Amino acid sequence: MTLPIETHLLQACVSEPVKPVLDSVVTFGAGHFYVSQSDKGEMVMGGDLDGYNSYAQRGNLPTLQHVLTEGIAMMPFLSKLKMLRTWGGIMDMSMDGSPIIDKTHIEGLYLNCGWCYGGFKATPASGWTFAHTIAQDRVHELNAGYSLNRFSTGHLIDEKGLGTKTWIS
Amino acid sequence: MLYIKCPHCGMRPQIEFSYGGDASVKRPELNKDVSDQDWDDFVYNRKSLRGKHLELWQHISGCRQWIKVERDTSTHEISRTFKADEEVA
Amino acid sequence: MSQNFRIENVGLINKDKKLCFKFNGKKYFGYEGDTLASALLANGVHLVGRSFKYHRPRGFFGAGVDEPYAIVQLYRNNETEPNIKATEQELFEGLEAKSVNCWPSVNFDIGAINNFLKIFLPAGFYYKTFMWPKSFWYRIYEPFIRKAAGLGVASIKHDKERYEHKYEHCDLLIAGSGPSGLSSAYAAAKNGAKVILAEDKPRFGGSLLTSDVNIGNQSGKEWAEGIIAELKTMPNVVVKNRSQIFGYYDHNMLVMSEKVSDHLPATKKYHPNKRLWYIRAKEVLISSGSIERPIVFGNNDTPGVMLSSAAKEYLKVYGVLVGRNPLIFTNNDSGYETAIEFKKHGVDPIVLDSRKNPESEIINEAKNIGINIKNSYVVVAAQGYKKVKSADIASISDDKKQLGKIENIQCDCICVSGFWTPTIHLASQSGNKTKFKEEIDAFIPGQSKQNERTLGAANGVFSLEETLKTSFAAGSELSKKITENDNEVLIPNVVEKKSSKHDKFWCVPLPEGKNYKRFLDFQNDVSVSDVEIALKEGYRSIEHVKRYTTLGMATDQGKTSNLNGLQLVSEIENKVVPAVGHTTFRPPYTPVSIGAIVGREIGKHSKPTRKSPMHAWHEKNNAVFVDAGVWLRPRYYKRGNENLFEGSKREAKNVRTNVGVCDVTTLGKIDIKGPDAAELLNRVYTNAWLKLPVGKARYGVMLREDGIVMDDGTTTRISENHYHMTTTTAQAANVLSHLEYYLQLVWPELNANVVSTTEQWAGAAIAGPKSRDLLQKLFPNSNVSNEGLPFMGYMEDDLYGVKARIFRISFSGELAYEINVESDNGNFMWEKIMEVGEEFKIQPYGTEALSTLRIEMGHVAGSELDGRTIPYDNALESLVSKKKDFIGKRSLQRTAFIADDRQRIVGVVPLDKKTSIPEGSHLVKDANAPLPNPKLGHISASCWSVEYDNPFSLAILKDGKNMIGEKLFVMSPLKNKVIPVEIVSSHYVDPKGERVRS
Repeated sequence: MTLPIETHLLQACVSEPVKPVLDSVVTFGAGHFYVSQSDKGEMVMGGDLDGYNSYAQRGNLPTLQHVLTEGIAMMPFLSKLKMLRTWGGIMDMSMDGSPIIDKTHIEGLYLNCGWCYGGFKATPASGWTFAHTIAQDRVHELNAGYSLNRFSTGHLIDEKGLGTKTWIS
Repeated sequence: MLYIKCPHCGMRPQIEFSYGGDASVKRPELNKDVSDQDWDDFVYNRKSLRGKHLELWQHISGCRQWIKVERDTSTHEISRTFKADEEVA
Repeated sequence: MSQNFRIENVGLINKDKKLCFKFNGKKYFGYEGDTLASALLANGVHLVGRSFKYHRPRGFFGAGVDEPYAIVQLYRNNETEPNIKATEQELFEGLEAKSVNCWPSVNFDIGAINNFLKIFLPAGFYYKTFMWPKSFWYRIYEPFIRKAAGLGVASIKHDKERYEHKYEHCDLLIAGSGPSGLSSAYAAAKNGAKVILAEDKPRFGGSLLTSDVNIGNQSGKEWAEGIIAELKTMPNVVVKNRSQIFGYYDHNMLVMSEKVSDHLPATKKYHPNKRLWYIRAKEVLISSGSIERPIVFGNNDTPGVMLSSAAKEYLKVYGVLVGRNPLIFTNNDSGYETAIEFKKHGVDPIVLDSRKNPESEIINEAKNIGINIKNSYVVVAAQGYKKVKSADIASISDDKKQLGKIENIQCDCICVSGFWTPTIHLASQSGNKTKFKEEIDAFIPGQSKQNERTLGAANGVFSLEETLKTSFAAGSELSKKITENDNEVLIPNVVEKKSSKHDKFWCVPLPEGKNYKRFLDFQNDVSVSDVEIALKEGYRSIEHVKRYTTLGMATDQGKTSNLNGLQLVSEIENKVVPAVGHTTFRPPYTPVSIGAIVGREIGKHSKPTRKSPMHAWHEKNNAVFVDAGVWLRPRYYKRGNENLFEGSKREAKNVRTNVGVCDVTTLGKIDIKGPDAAELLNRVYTNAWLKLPVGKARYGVMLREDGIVMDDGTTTRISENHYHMTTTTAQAANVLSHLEYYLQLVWPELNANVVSTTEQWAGAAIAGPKSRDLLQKLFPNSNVSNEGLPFMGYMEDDLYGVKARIFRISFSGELAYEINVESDNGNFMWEKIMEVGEEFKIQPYGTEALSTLRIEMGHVAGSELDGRTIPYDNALESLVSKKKDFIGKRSLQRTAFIADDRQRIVGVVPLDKKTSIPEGSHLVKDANAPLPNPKLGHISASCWSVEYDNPFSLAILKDGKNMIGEKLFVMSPLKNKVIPVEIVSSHYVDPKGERVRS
């Protein structure tokens, strides 16, 4: 089974811990950057994909440089902090930027994938509807739109309008 | 940062290139009937290989040529690069 | 205050230059060449901070990058920086620093109460202790934890420092200037290779600065100084101190952070604070040495407990005694080297060696000079709260399980040596799979992954003789490969004392009835019992244990704790250490300034700024600019106190009644030439292009292969095989790549070439009922009548001696023309248009008026062509050819795209004809329906119609074709607005398009 998904690389990083300065998650849509402060005091930051297919779980610095540039554009004080740790994760990038939560033509095989680099806030709802789909062998009305065949029918859920160039973030 | 051998210009840093995805995808010919499945495979479905991956890059800040790059997606090692019209054996 | 712990005539510091500094408000002095740590220790200050979790008093543990405790808040030149390692910060005149994590003061810390509540803060305390009751998390636990969390305080001021980037290529990059770095650099340099040698400390030489060895007929230190001096004179060599190679990335790209100014009271004018080097190296030699590891025992975090190598470094480099009554606790010969140095300077140390009967040259020397040595002895626990006062010691059985009778002996510091851990971070980052070397109880690099080789102590080789031999050879061999020179370099003789085997012993058992905290990770307060709990609770993978306990996740990233953590896990799990494996090493090796990573691309420099050739004129005429991608475009030209609304309305009205001129230089322009140019256009655009005559323009829409509109614009046939394509400002680069993609990869048989000419032409659109009169005056020799230059016509003429292209095209929906001249003549053209246009009441108009004009005409732009719409959605289906094939055509057949109720562009007018409609609002049938209220469409663009003097918007609406005349509601929860509206045609003004053809 070939899926409308490509595997890409996303890096994130944390700064050294500092006393509380930020009490919520802030995202910068135009610059593509997000930041929050962990309970330990580290600023957790990320943004763009490295931009090519990868399973290597290792990224390169220019991408983080770009991400942090956007970060400083939004919060100039970040400049004085130090980057403590970085990591690279594997992202299942779907062709319209939205996940697939669906049954398949293979009996007993269900899909919950293509979450791209987001979706953590949707985890409870996706888990709940996915459980419903598996238990009843049919989609729930809340995940009906996230079907696999939407790519064939054209019922795309492309919030950013980037189409199939999944690596442009 | 990747170091890519442009077959026209030589070794160049990744920032001179832009990525173009899986090079094994072939556009169906114009004016021919294409099945739904074949069209979806062309537009959407990807093998997303782990290991050797033939992919397209464009030397956008250089010679502007599209090239093919054989790169290992599990290590980022580049084994070979080809011109757009070169056969990949 | 006098420097009680400084000794005369020892050290590499400059005693002629005294420096004053303040720590926690108190004045001290040190010398040039000191670190903040050495200067404080010279003054007898051992208490520098409080630990992260329990707020236990903490002192100095190391003398460099591995320091886990001595983290301070630094004040320099009216700025403050958190989390500075006192062991790395060089002293400068006027330095001020404060302890972190303690309130109200380091001596009396309220947070230390956690120390007595530690039952509440075991491993995984972030995950479990505070989970119940649930409501407590937000109200009590989280605020409490957050307040206690963090180390230093971030300044929220703008960073005034400047950081720069440098890009380098070299043959050999050598990380670390110890014996192996120096010898390999020297051998490679002699072969003419381009070498970069990087040292993170201020002084070159690494272990040679502190070890008692001879190379040739010199001391190790003298030899190092000689080599460095010679390397500095060689044109093919760059040596950099204060420079840390912190990351080994793909394809032999390494990144180095150079501290240019941190050792100075203020950054010098025109100097950066730090410089980030991106280095592409042909070969990399990793000579990063090793870090001494501690032996774990009770209260091993008490100030005064430190690495034995650090004690030696403070003595030999800074002339500082870390104690006058030192206890040395070792499982190998390194502890003796420190003991001998103490003894040489009149201090009597006691050595506890966990080994039974070790024998070696070093031990013999120690015995000969009368050092008190106790074999099979260990430190059970340090005693003392804010400083070591004594130690509980005991003999230990051969199997290291049984302790003898506990004795207490007086001491003021405990120098601990648990053998050496090679610094394998860079090799591991390159992708090298490390291997465990039994003889040294540590990991070393395995097979090289990229072009890297690890040498000396970093490779687990602790003999100086062997290190020099292999490093000279590596330097010669690798450089010869590159330069093809083969200059022989003599390897000098080495005199070093032979050492005996270390003891595989890393943790002192707890004596019966005692529950001492035995710390593994000193900064994150992770103790032996925390790891035991994690394992008991089922965590097996070392990656999980790390995250659950936070072992090795502090700002030192586990440099002194990782291996002992592994030993513990392997012991409890009854596995060998390599079976447990280590956690992944990722960049950076040591924390790197975010400012340095970002470099100069901040503020105005974060993106390039593109300006049209007429920019200066716009500025002079009070243009208010707006960012259009990276372009700056006039949004409106302010007159008096006008705001945006008033100004743009005035400008748009003037276009509808007289004539206006707009700078359209930013539009993408692509030259297409070749016999197959028309065929290319025919495949790229949805409409037919094969029969466009020379001298005519045509509007076209191009799709992506998924059927979605990619861009629109006009293309003009300049001559037989020459076309001039325009794109939207935003898509200019993408469209060019798109055309190149199809020409080079898909249809290479097409004989056509494309090139961007966006920068070559300056463009001015003149629009309005009087635009023809103006054009005629500008080009008196041409026939610009409706017959001479009809709608979508094209001609070339001379504008006061300047070659001009004239297109009769219109975005505003008025009678309009676009004039292009070569960029250098742009300003000339503009000024002529303004001058000649005066009699027609010409006014320049900006993007806001431009939007108004196109919106009320129903012309689509980027907000409708948003990557989610097909031609039908934009009322452009008449441009989709049924006869020919083109890019994306096959996708248009999909069910959703041909559905009867497919979304389509409509016009929206508020019923009250007054309330402005926010862009991005949703359209709903029933404003009071329960949530989620079904969305029928969204507002894509809004304006104030100058034609009808009321608000008007465009929307993409479900079943838009059948919705004209319907009454709906616009909802904008963001602006808290609900507006009743009527759906009308998107062609609000001049629906038949008569004006453009007039």
